[in-house]
Amino acid sequence: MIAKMKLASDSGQLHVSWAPDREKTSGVAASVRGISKRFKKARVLEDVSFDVAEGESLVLLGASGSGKTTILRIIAGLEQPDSGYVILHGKDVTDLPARERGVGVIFQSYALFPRMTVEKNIGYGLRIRHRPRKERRETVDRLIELVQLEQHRKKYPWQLSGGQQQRVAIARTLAYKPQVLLFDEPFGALDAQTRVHLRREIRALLRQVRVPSIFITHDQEEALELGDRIAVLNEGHLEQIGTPDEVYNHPETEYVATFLGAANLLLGVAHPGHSRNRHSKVAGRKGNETIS
Amino acid sequence: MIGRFFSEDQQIMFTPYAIILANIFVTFPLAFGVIKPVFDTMSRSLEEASATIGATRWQTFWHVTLPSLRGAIVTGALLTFARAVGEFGSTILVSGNLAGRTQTAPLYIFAKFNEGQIEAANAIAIVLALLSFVIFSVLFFARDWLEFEAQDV
Repeated sequence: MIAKMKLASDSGQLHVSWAPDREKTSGVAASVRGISKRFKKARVLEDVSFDVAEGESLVLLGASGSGKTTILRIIAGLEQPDSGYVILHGKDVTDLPARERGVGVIFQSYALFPRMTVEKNIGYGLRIRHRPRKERRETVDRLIELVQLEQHRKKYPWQLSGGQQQRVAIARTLAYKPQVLLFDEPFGALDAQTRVHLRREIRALLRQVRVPSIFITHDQEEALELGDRIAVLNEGHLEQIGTPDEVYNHPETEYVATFLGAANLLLGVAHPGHSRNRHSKVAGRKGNETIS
Repeated sequence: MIGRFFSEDQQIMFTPYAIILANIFVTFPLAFGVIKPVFDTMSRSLEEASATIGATRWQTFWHVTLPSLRGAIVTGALLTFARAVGEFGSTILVSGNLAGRTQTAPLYIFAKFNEGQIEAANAIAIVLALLSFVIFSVLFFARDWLEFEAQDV
């Protein structure tokens, strides 16, 4: 624990890490090995493999029906793969049920418990683990402070805005020190302005808590901003995985090029002043980065 | 099958237990009809969230599912109660209609009416009518509260 806290403060970040306490052996927090999945006759995933490093955020980017949600559900243990493995911190968890995996899922609808207040929602993970009351209260206090919901702690989910609900959902998973955080279309239910704002908030929050995370999105702009690396999925197979710069500037397949390129075109239309970007790929890239 | 566990003198027929049993069978669909739709509209992701947080199925049911069903369960209980109080057919079949022991209010009304004591029958009938009126007023005025339970999932 002490070593971990040192590590966090050394890198100029926050004092407390909400990542699980364990020896950093390989630096790989989660990996998916050769996952395939069929639903009836439809092939949803085909031999998908990738790693998420400690403290890294990976974005799974793909159109609807590309299988990205299925990957997330398989990692969380809510779905079983037909073949392949899910490995969390070096341990094969493929056959473990969801509740024994220690994975934090932030659902698109947040799935907060409607009959519990903010603090009860956040404390739920520790309550079902039968932790002593004192520990529960301290953890909840620290998390509520972390997500800045001090004045809302006695409220019920329906009394909160979408962004606040999302912060509760994140805090609720952090309470039990998840091995990895999974975000399922985290901004899907929000309007465009809130979305941009929340994206920054989450990114800042993740830098503080240093928990490896996987985001799922179909929004290219979101992927470029949130991901340390981006994995582009198309009809169940991985087209390319790399840093935003790599997938954006050096697309390996035509699909990646067109899928990410479309965002540029949309940007050009939205901001007429940037129209020159369309002529120069380099300028377009720069434009995108300044937006983020 | 179940009869094996009871000796001859432990007859369940013509006892209050028989009435309870019969009314459970009769009113069960009523309660089921109220609770099932709420159960169906509950989002699966709540239970999935609970599972990923680390809860067992039982913990999920106790802490997440049951509280969300509270309104429906209260409604179902009130409807069931109203129905059971007035239940006649199944009760008279199994109760034996023993005055003071297994005679329910509707059976009493029926007996007194047959004996020609209309006043006694009327008195109990009014009590029953008031009771059902009270129950349905509760259901009506608590509607907002009960529906809130169902929709906020």
